[in-house]
Amino acid sequence: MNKFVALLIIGLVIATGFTMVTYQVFFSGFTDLHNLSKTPAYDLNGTQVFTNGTVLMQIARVELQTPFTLKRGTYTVMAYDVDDQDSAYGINFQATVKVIS
Amino acid sequence: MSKQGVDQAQMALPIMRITLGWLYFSAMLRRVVNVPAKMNPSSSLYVGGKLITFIPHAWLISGILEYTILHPAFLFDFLVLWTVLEGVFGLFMMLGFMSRLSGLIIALLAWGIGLGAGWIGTTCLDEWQIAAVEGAAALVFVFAGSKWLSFDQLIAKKYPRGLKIGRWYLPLW
Repeated sequence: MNKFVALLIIGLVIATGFTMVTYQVFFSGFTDLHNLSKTPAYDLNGTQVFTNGTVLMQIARVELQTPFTLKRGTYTVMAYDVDDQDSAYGINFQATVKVIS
Repeated sequence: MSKQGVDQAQMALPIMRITLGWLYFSAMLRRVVNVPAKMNPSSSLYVGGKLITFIPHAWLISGILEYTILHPAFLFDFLVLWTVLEGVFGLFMMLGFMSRLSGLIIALLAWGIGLGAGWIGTTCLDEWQIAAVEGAAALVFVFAGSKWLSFDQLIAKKYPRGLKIGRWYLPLW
């Protein structure tokens, strides 16, 4: 087998390997087919409502592969309503928040 | 396969090569020419914001994605580099210039995006399909080169063994 053919076979394995492996990793295509993007799942456990009207919403995507921990800093949190709007009547649905531990 | 068969296969490759190159070159055009706000970190259209949507189910590169999002200056530089690579090697692919090298770079770009966004696709398995077919198509050019309707065709007439570096020849075309 010459070098070109050997490299060609390696390339074939890599290209088809990426296709088949990611098909299983992302969609469980060979076992229990799903589409996490089309049907996302969320866990709202930990959400709290306070007597002054404050809602502390805790949202996490289900099946996160790695827990995501926010670093200290200042962030802008935005909210979109069910019509995909992020503002109305001149009011932006956003707030600047600092991370607290 | 006969010699004639090989040549005919090469003559079919520009169909894929030009489309593949345009997919990448036009990505640069959209960000730099059509909608420059896509490269403006202060804009809501900033493409850097897309990376956070990759994180929930990204495979193997979640750590890299998190790092880029937590380091905005690095994220911007990363996006500039990515956009330049898409523009340059997308154009090279369309022109058939250094097709083997262009194929390798584009394959890595396709699979790189695939690892992050492969799970995303609200109407189908969109991003996975894009990454898989673009990566495979680009890899074809690493092995096949571009021997018809291409700059490589002209360069290869003068330098058939590739770019000479010392004793070695680097088959860039």
